[in-house]
Amino acid sequence: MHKYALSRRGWLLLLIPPLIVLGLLYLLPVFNLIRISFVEYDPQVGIIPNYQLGNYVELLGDGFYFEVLWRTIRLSLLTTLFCALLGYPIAVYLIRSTGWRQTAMFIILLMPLVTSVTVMSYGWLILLGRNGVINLTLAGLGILDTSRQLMYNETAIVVGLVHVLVVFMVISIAASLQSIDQSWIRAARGLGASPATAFRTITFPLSLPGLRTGALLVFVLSMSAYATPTLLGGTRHKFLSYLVYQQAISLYNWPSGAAMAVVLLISTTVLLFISSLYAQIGAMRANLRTSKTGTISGSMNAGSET
Amino acid sequence: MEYLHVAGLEHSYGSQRVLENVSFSIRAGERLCLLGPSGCGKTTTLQVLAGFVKPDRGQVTIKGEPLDGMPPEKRNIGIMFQNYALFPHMSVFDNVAFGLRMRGLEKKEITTRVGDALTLVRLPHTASKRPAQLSGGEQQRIAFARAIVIRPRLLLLDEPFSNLDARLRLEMRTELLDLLRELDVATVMVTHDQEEAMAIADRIAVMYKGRIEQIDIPNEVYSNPSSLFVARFVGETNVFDGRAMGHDKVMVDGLGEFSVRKNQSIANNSKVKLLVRPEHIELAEKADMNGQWNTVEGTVERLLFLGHRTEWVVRKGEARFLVWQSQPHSLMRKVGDTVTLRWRPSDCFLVASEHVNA
Repeated sequence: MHKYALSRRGWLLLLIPPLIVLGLLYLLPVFNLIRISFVEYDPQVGIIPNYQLGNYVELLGDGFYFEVLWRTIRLSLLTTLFCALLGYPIAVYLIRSTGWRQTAMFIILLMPLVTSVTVMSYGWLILLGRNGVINLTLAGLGILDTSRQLMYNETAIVVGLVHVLVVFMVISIAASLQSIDQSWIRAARGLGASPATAFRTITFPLSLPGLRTGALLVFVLSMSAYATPTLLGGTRHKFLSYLVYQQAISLYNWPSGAAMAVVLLISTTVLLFISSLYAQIGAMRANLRTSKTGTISGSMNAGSET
Repeated sequence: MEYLHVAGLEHSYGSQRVLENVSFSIRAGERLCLLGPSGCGKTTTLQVLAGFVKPDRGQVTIKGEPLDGMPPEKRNIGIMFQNYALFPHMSVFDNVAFGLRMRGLEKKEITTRVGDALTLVRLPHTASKRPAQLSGGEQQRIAFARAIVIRPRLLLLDEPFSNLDARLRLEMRTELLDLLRELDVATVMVTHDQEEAMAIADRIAVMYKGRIEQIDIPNEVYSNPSSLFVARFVGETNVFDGRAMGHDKVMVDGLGEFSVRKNQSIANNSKVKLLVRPEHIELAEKADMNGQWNTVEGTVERLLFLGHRTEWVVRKGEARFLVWQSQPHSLMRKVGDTVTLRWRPSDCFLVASEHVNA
């Protein structure tokens, strides 16, 4: 064994500090959140330590809550889709470019992460507002006679979320593109594949893990997004995180807010689970297919040998 | 009859010239090996043939048909890559079938031809496996099957043995040679290993700094190298500085006069290098001596018994001779003994000194 290799116990020892941090800063609050979601709340008295299902029953009967939950899921899926469509070409460009072009692309991508979400959303306000740049330009060109409301709708939310989150998609895809050996592409070309076919048969399938990681990241982050949808969606197009905030901070109804948060947590987990299940079934079917062709050729070979 | 013809290839990467007037041609079914150290331009030449690199100048034709500007996918050339480049997300069957599917063949024919190719490389049972589940030698054979299943006009092999361990390398060398002979396909192979080149190739092109130094059958390249570089790169050589005296004599600094094989291209009294292969030098008894041999008396400085041969370093003044002996009686001597070395004039040769490449 290597002189400096850690023993099993050494590794466990090293694991203790991150476990403590995770436990204190993540597991404990989540446990507390779940606990509070079962507590009773009275507007006059406040929290009554009486565990029951009332908060959840109330949510299930609330049409408005379901509308917001559905909007959150729907717009998060749309955001993920647009991030993938936009992020893939950007990732390809990022991988292929060199020198200052690559640096410039990186800066453009990372800018939204460095800038505060609030500042960025006000930036969109300047562009999309009733007296914003786009409205004034279109009116000035005579395309629109009156200015349109481009803000405070679902489109604006998706535009804003894609802007902030596309970088996660790009970086995940770029990482998996980077791991694709150029000799695979050359081998495909040498065997008769045009550049487009080589991309379809080699590059794209091999970049799928990156696409999947990016999609999970973007989806989870947009499910829990708060500032962007609140500022760009206005009062009529709320996200679930805003409702949680409203319950907990404005109405002091922590139990109800906690129940909403738990539902958000569960729906996100369920959707992630479905997507990973889908990926596994896909991989299983691919394996099944190759083993089938294998047996066909195998029996054929046996035939040719006898 | 010329099959593949390469004429006047020139190429530069930025300010660095990688190919300088590279020209050669091969006959149908012939195996040519491009041999040289890294950076000599052999891989670039291969990539020009495959269509991955567009040369600045020069032309490649197969059976008189020019390949200029033809993309790789239209060339119908089989390539085996140094790292094999098997597609990791496909089964062995799908890897080998890839080129046939690109050609739009019928499913039934694809199954038959892939099966035949896998049987040829003796790996029919691996069809459903992934490349990662195969050993290095198996991966190489699959890569070979994938390259030849498309029935290419030309086969390119890029350092085919460099990723195998020493024992497997010898095994695969004979196996690959047998396959190439059976298929009778025109082949260009790239390697930096002279033994591999000699084992596989009908002819060897020794490349250095973007140029072909010598192109000939293996025996000629070894026993009649055209330059100091070729002599040193292909096999071991003793090199001594001297001055030519006529066409068949040389005066070596500090050692005296020797007779050599006649070389008309060497000018009288010009600076030359005398080259003697270590296996051509014998240890002689004084009594054996007569005027037909070149002889030198020296002291044994080092003695290494290597099993199939004994390696000697014999010193005279500043000069050191590397000597390989296969006779066991040479073991009777020991370090510090005075010995007489001899070699035939026909076994040594001169190259011009201004050709100091190596």
